[in-house]
Amino acid sequence: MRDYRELTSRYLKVQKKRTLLTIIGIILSVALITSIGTMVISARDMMIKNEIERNGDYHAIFLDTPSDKVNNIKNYVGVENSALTKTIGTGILAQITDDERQQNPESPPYRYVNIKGYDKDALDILPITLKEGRLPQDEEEIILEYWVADYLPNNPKIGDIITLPIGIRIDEEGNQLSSNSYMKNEIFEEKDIRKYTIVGFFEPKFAWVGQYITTGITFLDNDNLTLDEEYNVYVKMDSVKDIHENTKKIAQSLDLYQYMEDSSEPYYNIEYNERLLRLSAQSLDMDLNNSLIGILIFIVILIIVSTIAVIYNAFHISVLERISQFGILRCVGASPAQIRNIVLKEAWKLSLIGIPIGLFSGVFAMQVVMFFVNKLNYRLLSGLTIVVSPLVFIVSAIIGLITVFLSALGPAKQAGKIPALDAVRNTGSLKKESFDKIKRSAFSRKLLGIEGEIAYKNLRRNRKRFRITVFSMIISIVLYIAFSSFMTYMLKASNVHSEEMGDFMIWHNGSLGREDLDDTVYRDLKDLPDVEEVFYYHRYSAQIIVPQNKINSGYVKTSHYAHHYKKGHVYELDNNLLYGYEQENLNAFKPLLKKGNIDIDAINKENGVLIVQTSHVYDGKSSNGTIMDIVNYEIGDEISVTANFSEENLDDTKVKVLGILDMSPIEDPYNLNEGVIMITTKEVYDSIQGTNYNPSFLVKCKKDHSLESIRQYLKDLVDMHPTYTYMDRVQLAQEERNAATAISIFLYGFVAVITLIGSLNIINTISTNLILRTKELSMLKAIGMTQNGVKRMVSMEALFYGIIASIYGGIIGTGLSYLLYHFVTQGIQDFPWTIPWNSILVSTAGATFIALMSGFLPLRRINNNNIVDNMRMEE
Amino acid sequence: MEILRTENLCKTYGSGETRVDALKNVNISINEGEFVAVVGPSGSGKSTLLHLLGGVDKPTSGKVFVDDVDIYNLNEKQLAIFRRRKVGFVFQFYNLIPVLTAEENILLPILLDNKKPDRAYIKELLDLLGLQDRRNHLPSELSGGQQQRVSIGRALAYKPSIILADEPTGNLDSKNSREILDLLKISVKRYNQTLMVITHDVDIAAQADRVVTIEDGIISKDEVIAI
Ligand SMILES: Nc1ncnc2c1ncn2[C@@H]1O[C@H](COP(=O)(O)OP(=O)(O)OP(=O)(O)O)[C@@H](O)[C@H]1O
Ligand SMILES: [Mg+2]
Repeated sequence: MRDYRELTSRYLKVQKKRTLLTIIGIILSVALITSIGTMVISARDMMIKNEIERNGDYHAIFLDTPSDKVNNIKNYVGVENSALTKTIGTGILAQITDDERQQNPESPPYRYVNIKGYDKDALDILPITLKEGRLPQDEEEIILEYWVADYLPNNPKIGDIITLPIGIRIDEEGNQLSSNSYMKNEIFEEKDIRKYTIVGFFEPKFAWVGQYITTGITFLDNDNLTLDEEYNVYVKMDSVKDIHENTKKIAQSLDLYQYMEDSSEPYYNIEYNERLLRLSAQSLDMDLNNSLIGILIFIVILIIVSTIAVIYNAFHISVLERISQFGILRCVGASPAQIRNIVLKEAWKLSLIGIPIGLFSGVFAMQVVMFFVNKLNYRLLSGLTIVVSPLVFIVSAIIGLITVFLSALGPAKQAGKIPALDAVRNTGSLKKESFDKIKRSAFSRKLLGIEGEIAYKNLRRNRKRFRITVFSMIISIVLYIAFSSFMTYMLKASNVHSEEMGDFMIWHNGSLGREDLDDTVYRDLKDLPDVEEVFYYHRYSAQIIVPQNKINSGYVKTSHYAHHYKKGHVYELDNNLLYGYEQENLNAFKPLLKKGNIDIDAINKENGVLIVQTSHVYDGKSSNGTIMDIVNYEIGDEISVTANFSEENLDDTKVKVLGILDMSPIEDPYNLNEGVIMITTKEVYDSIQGTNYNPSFLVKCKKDHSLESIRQYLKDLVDMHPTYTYMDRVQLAQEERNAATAISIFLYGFVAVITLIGSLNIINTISTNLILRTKELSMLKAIGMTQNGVKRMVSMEALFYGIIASIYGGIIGTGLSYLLYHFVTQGIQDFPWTIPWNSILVSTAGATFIALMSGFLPLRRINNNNIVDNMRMEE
Repeated sequence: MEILRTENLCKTYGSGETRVDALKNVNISINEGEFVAVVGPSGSGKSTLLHLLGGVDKPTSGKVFVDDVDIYNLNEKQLAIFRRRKVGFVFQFYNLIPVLTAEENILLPILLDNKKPDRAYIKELLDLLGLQDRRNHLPSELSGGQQQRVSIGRALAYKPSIILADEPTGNLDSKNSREILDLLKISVKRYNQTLMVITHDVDIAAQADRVVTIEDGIISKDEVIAI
């Protein structure tokens, strides 16, 4: 030994178990933090990749740049990469047939291909997904959207030559039309005829089959720019910092701006790849929304707190154990600072071992998790590869170091303060204990036996040790409750909306005058073998006038908006929903009926409605949403309804409440915007709303059917009539379930590690408690206590700790879970908060069990060793 | 020449009913090179006095001067250095650091000072203590007598001017006791150190230059033994 500081490593070696425990604590927490960081970075990386795949690997486009300026931009300082594209013109693919026109009377006269020239770089950085063939290599070659060939004469294949009239599309006044709009009466002005060889087919980016204006890509030779033509210059800059300013500066210096009539600000014809820019921006916080950051910070703080608890306890106990030794050091002349340094150096050494292992195991754990998550085929995460980021390593290492030092600082200071006298007077910490202050209790002895009584006294004799033990158990319980209920809320919050929306949802936009078609679709759907039930309905928002005595006074008190609706003696509620259903659908609502009944004839005769009076209400005081009745109508009451935005501006209609429902069985159960939901037949709906359009179909399928018939039907329907859209909720639900599973894997992983950390903490404190008392326990045996008696005593101690910690931990944990609930739901309380009994039970039982177990292990050792050896044992 | 002096040294424990006056206005002066034996009944205040002289406890009132420096006027760090360099303690229960070997325990005060130990002297010390072949043993591997010799070695390592020993032979048999005391005496003579030993052993007291008797917190007898 050269230096007194070497004492550090001696102590660490001697206290192998605790050293190991502490290192494991450090590893776990650093690993957790690293894995969170890695996850964030990897997710960001994935989003960037996806964005590039979707939109291209560029930052900005200088649109319509004159050919003589193109090279100036390309060579500008700060421009890293560039690419060129150019609009060649619009070609006619085919004429619209009479059949097609019948399906869509608004369709334009032709199907077009919008031909663009891409130079080599553009073909490289812009996303093109080839289905067949290869990219164009000269200006005579072209690639087309794969489905377009069907419309061309003779259905050409790869290698075939096509001849296209090229020109521009204009409207009746001679204005050029853009490639995303069309008109029935547009005019094609032919400029040229070109021949192209088809060399490939690609997947359209956003389009669906049946679109009128498609895209074709040919090659653009960037060495021979045509004079006086305009090009689009795609640039990728060295840095995304201040990119908007920098690109504008380029444009300014090249005179590439103009002044619009109505503005004094120059207008730059630059388009930005905003999402990519935002994702690649330096600061991470720009692409993560606030609540996600909040949650991440919360998790990291939880981890830090639990780690601090473990490491602090480990050090604290090891200092307590060495009180006499630090006392001796003080006697032989060590200064408080020197003793502090010994302890801090222990912390440093442990960090040196624990942190690197933690960093690597964090990344490794992430890789393992991703392996399983990828098996789930969860679309959102596919393509996610783990990115090992030095930044994450550095940040996690620093957080880890700070955590360890924070935890060790207190005990180190305490060690420095140990008076020299503590060594001289006595061996160990017995001095601090106050046996005499404990009152005898005949009651406790009767109840618990002599062992129980000693156990109880043992608890009380060393306040510090008692506090540490209880504290560590409380921390474990609190962390478990908080985190597991946090997890439940997260899962609930992500799942809430997937109910009662049917298996397929079909909308028809713009079916004006096509009711017969909708009716056909309804009948077709009903007849499909997979289908159980189809709801066919129209929906519109309506205004109702509610007299003062029918409005719920509780609502008026709570709502932030109620007073806006008050007009004299009535309330004019604006956001009510009026549903008109196919008659046979209404029978399905019977189970939800609270009052009245569903009598179709009566509804049709008396303008009857079924209403849902319960609504989401925005609470002004707590700025939270709650759910409550906003009106209190009775059966037979009349409501005065005006259709909002009605085509024919009908007057108020009186409808009669014939039934009151608990909730709406379809779409949202309650009105989201402080209004009632009125449900009636199509006939009554028509008389209120006037015109009947934009219907929806909600399809419930038979359980365990393949769903092939309905999927095929819907595909065909949408192909034939692009005005229909549908949502495959079965698939979405599957994806949502996968997402929930993926989230649970992460969350359960965290809960597991947090639990592990908490258990480590309990094991550490309880077992040292006993090891410290080896001598005394042996003495008890020497004077005749049996091994079973000792066991009873020790378990009773653990039980006491468990009970006390459960009470405090349960209360604090529940409080924390309540806060988290508000945090996660952010005021939108889709599900109510309940006391997390399950977590409380699991955590308190678990903590007590671990306490019992950690008591028995050292006992075995005491049992095996010779009594005399133990009694002679120096601390 | 005077090395140690106290002025109205008082130490009180507790208050009210449980108040104990362990030392009451003790005035004592000790000369350099003196061998003082402190005797007295159990609970009379012997250990308390020794602790106060060595700077490990704080007096309730009164002062302790070492080389005319009021040691309780020093700050924590200075006091630590004082203990390191000026005082060597020997305790009844050895109080060794269990994770350090015999030799390292002895070197501890020097290492705490970030100094290089004088190897020749340490070897001499180990020889003197008869620990040459035990120097790499841990305290748990040593007998009681050997452990006490290590603690004496530790007290002597820095060649302190004052050696304070609280019943150094209390746990040893008479042969070991004699050897330990001889060791202390040899060192004291060789380096002109001042030695204060608390003892219940009449034989040891008989070898001292001076015997101080403490009873009930006051010095009741202070006799110089003529040689
Ligand atoms: N920390 C303390 N708290 C209360 N009283 C104390 C404390 N330390 C010592 N005393 C009391 O002070 C008195 C003197 O104690 P001290 O240890 O000096 O006695 P001693 O002469 O060394 O006895 P022994 O020969 O048994 O070692 C005793 O009455 C003791 O009870
Ligand atoms: Mg004593």
